Amino acid sequence: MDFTLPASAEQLRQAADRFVQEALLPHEGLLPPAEGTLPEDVRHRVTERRRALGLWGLGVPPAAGGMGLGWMERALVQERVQRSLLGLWPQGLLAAGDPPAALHAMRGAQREEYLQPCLDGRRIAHQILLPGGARAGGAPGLRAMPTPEGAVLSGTWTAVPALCTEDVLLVVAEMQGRLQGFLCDRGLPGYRVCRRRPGMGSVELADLAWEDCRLETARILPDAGPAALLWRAAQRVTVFGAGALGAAERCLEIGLDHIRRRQTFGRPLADRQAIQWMVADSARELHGARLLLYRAASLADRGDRDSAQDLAGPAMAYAAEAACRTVDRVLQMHGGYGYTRELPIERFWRDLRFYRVADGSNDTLVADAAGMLVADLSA
Amino acid sequence: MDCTLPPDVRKWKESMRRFVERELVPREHTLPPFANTLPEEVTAGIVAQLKSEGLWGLAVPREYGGAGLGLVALCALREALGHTTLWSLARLLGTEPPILLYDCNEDQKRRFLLPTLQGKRYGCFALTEPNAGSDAAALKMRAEPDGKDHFLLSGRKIFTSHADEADYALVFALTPPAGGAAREGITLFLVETDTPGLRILRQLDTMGGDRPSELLFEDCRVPAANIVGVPGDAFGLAQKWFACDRIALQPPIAIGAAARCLAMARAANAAPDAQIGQLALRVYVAREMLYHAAWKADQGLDVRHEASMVKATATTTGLEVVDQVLQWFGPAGYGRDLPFERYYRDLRRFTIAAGTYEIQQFIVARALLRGFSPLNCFAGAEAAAGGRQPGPAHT
Repeated sequence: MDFTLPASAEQLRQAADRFVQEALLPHEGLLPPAEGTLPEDVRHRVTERRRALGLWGLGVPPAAGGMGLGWMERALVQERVQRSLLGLWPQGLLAAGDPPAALHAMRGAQREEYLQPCLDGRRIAHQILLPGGARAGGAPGLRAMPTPEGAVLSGTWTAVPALCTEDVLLVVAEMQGRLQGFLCDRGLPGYRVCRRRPGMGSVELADLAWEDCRLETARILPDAGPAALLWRAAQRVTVFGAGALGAAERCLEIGLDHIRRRQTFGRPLADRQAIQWMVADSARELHGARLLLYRAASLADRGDRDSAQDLAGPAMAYAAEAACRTVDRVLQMHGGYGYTRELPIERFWRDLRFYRVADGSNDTLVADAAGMLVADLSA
Repeated sequence: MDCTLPPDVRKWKESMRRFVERELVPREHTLPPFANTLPEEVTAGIVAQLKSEGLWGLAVPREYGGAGLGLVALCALREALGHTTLWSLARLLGTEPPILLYDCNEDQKRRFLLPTLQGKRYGCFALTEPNAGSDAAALKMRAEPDGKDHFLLSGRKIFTSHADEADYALVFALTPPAGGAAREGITLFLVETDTPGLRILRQLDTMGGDRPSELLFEDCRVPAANIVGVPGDAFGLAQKWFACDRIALQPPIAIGAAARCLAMARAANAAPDAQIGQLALRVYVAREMLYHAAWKADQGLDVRHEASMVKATATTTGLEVVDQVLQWFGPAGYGRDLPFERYYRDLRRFTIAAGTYEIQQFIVARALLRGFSPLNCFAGAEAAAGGRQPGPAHT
């Protein structure tokens, strides 16, 4: 047992903080007020700045040309970066340079077409895993059938974050009894976005349709299952879990600053017990969330991938809920100001709400983990 | 980073779990509904068996004949013990001497600490007064010098658990210096319970098994040789006791009890996994917080704020889980054939004793308002930040 942070923690935090200070916070004002993201030229500059600071290819192993950071280190980076509204997952600013793990082992022509451009920042790849989302979506689903040339996809999938479709979407679905990866490039014949659904925050959702969509073997990753599942678990812990934690921590700091200054009946709000309890509840929940996320991350980093994958879903769920409750309390501390778009709190409130339904709803994740959690508590 | 229990602690915890299932759970129905004692010979038999299986004194420091496994191990054993309603039997683990006894001088260790560790003597902890609970700085009990070598103690203590069984009491009293703040004049005395001038006024019947006492001190003459540490300087000792107690006393029991209730609920299909999972997740989080704080305490780091976070979280979560599982079982859950009602009544005390839930919330909020980030709870981060500033002088 040892709760010491990894030796690299301080350096990573400094790099992430610098990125936030120099590239993200100054641009928060350029965010369209209701939804959406930054203008393309600003996005490009922000991405280049991140690359220059060395925060590139975080989850890509050194052999494939990345930083090869562990889960714990990636969690620490996400915690800091998502302190900015622009670092939140819905803005999609961190996907560049960090393609899903199923792409890391690509060789030859496949590497040239997908992995290398992703590492160079010319292309962006996202992953969706269909079986996990099936229970939440209730859609008819996607069928993948083998053909002599590769596979044919047909069917639909609803409510996929639209940003995942900006370039190449790695669809991981079952074919012939195992999980396989299908590389769906934007513009691929037979594959299209059939409907767009605006969301309450920065996330826009898209319905996807595959109509007799034929993929040659070069666009199929037959052994994608294990890497895709592990990547999803890592994303849950680092991007959604630790990211939500970092965002909530920034909001809590904004709240603390406010209640120390704001006076009611001649005394600062900080003296009011009703307000103090919001602070205490938030601190306890965020502290607990952090410990749960760090447990999952350190399990993975120490090689216990099965346990890490089991814990990733509930850890993300707890962190996202703790973060949403915290941001809501901070909004409440500010009264009407917190509700306005003059402060970043309402945007955090709307954007973080997505984290509780992203990648399988929290309720599903927690229900699926009930047996594991109870057994582990009984040991 | 490694958040898992050390292998030896895990092994002892598993042994304790097996012992609980084999020896204690079958005896649960013999526990009187409003007491936490079994017949003396039964308890002695359980302790003898625990000793023979090496489960006794594991957290006692090596120099006193224990295994020196520390607070993490004590929490693990107590978590396992929480799987039975017999957890509240006194003196089961041989770790009961208040940690403050380790601050005794050699003579006091010979008279109090060692016999306690051997199970021959037993102490109780008397801090709370009718008008001073969590706000220990508001103590009223006075200790006036009587000649060169004695003090006369006058005042009342209340909610002193196990005072009726104790051979001695750890008593906090005021020895204020002229003009000093109240908390600068608090002294800790070791008082033999048969000292003239000390008597138990009454025992308070409670809804659970605990029957704490109200003690009256009337010119109770105590030798100066029974002062622990530096006279007038016991406030820090009280804080130290609070920090360790808030981690190791109630939270592991609450977590073990909640875990057992949830396992029974799931085995009986008493509720959907969506509901069981949500509660189990919260217990799981409380357990992470518990072992993190215990580990930090074992490293000699300041854990006052973590202790409050652990206590507030684990005790409320445990109580809520027990209440919910009782509800799921309906009238059967309310009855004495199942352990839930007993757990419910006993755990209800946890959000009150050793610092109320409200006090823990107050301590956590104040820490943040004074600028302690939850991030600083991590070793490494703390070192980088130049170490933690001394916290507020308050329990």
